[in-house]
Amino acid sequence: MITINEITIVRDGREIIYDYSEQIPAGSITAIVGPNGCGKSTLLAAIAGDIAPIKGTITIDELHPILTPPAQLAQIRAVAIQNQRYTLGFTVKQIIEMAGPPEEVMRSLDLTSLADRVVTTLSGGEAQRVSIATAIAQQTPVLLLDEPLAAQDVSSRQRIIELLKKMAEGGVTVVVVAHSNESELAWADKVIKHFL
Amino acid sequence: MKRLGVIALAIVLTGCANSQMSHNFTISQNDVSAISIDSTSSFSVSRVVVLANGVAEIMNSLNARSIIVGRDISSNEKVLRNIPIVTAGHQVIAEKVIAINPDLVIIDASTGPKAALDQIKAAGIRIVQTPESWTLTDISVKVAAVAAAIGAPQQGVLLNTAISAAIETSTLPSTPRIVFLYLRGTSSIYLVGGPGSGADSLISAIGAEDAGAASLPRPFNTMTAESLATLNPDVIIVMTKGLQSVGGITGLLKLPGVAQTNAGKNHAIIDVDDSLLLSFGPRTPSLVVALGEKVSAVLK
Amino acid sequence: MKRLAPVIALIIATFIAIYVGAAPIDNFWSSLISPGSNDILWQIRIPRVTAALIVGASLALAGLMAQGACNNALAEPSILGTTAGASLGTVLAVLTGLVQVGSVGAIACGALGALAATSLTFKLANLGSQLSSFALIIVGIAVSASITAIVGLLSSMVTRADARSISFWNFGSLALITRDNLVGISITAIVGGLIAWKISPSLDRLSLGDATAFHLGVDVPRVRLIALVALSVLAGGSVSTVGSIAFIGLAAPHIARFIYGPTHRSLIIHTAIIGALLVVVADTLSRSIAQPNELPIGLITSLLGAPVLIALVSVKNNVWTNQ
Repeated sequence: MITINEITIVRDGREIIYDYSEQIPAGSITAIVGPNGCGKSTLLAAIAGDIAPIKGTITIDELHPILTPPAQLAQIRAVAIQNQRYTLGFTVKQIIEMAGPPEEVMRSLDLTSLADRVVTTLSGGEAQRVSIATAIAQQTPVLLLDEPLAAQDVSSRQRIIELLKKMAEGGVTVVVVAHSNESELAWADKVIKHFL
Repeated sequence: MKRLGVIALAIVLTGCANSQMSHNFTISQNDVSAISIDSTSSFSVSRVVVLANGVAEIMNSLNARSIIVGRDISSNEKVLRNIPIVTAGHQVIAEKVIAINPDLVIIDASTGPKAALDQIKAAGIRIVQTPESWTLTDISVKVAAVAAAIGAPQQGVLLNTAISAAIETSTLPSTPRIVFLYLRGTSSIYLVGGPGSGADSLISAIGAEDAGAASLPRPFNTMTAESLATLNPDVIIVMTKGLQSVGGITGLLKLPGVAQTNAGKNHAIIDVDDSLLLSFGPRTPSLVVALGEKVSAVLK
Repeated sequence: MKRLAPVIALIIATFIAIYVGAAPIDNFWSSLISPGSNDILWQIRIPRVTAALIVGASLALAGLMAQGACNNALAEPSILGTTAGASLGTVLAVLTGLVQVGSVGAIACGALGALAATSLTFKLANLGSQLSSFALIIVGIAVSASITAIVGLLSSMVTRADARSISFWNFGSLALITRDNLVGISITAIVGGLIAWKISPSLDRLSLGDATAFHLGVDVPRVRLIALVALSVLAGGSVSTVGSIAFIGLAAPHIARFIYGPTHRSLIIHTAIIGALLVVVADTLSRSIAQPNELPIGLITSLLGAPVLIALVSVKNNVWTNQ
């Protein structure tokens, strides 16, 4: 369970999020939606422990991400950011292995055929799938994904959604940032729209 | 326990410190004396400014010290101490020379700057150029030229006779291989004297072999560690200031190439006062004797 | 076969280096198998070649650390100010009479100077929490140039016996290596190598960007600092003993990555091999081309390294596409 308690987040002098509280239940998929620039990614980053609110607290099962050492935090939450760039020529399998066992997640996301491809040669959609696979391979109770469906084709989207549903059923807390253009949000158990 | 640790650390940090080895094989200016003649003579000039290396020394030996009224910085013999210096470093200062009102200025090929000399000439002062001396055989030519310049050629003849009588070829029990190293501490390569360095002249005078002159092309040759080790001299001659610039005997022996030679292994290093070694003049016979003695001593 | 080439080349190059030299060695083969039998071989040439191998490996590893820590293809010890700092640290220590060049104390001061200079570069280049590549390189070049100028001034002003010349600090030289020097640089190579081994997995993750590395559990500032320490120890040891030899830190990791891929742990030994190869070849050339003179080794490494680097860029198989 993720508990957000009256947080205010300031970035570049602007108040992006003001006095916001929320509870995100475990074992479910929560979607954060809204137009561009409304602070969805900022909220995700705050949950991930990347930025600290100037007021209020966020806890993941009583643990404060902002106060937790990186190694320990990585066992609790995994993140797939929006535009993961690869600078070194690792293979897809090597990248996913940095997080955890790769075989099963590669199968689930149809990446097995790309296992030995160098990541710098991937298309946008393929790279995004690798980024998602890496987060999933970390096998954490909390999974945070920033616009994971953006560059995917229809069958890929289905695949990813199915996988997320299965993980939520298994008890994982899945939080997804999605563009408000998403017509289909039925796969989400909870939708957060107004949090400014 | 902690104190020991600190001391150990200090020793390590100083790289085992700079221990100066005791070193007897130095030839300083006090170890040599100049050949001179007793007879006096009259000279054609009475106020001479000497701006050539070694000429003041020769004039002193010709009993002509009294007519020297100005000198350059390289004429640093003790007897000339009271005579004013008219150069800034090795550069001649025209105003100072003219102010002394000399009737003769003696220069050689390395005196400069040319502009200063032109100014002196323009002031109507006579300038005479004497030859330099780079080997033993050059000495008599230079002495004769200086004597002629001051109008006392007979004195010159007398001095030359005295000098050649004083040069005895030394008798060394063997023919050691000797090498002359010109060192400048801040460079990582050193120069080895070859044929025509001047040192070769001295080395053969004492009956030894100049290993550098035997196998190298130029008067001064850059040398590397391996080449020096191959030359393998029994004795190494250096200049005193040059030796200091590499950190003394300790520093010299640390240079790779030196330690592998016979000279390095036996610490057979002789250092000679910088102004003495390569200036050929009235003190050279005495230098040859001193050198021969030191070489015998260092090889024991 | 491509993977074995550097090792084979290194063995051949090392052998040629020991064989070639200004001095003719009688009975070369028998002298080679009995240690200490020939002075020139065992006290001058073999220590020098050994030093070339160790220094080459150290500088290459330093470059690997620099590129990993900065997540930047252009990072190397000279650009970050590390080698300049090492020179200054050593020169200052030597001038104050504390230590002698090549001693363990000099190496310690060199490493401290390296660390100080590199930290300065990082502090000045850091914009907020993001490490801007552009800022890092510009600031690094400026810091390097300033410190190098100071070293030049000190070298020319002071006439202390073993302060070495400007040429020594800027272009490097193995001409003054003796057996005693080998201890110090071996220690820094091993220490640096061990640290590099320890943080290699973290450096792999760092290549994904600071944010993702953090998400994967990497303490980014700490890993970066440890990489800087490794970089300073490696570069400090080398530079304070043989001066700064250009290009090795930049070229060797790239060549290694090209052949062996980007995984840092495997790159440690391979980068070291390639660095050793480059320096030993350069040193052999420097003392053979213009006999009896020795050319400064830094000139030769630049001449060797530059075309190699350009060739790498033009090959399509380039494993580092930095935007």
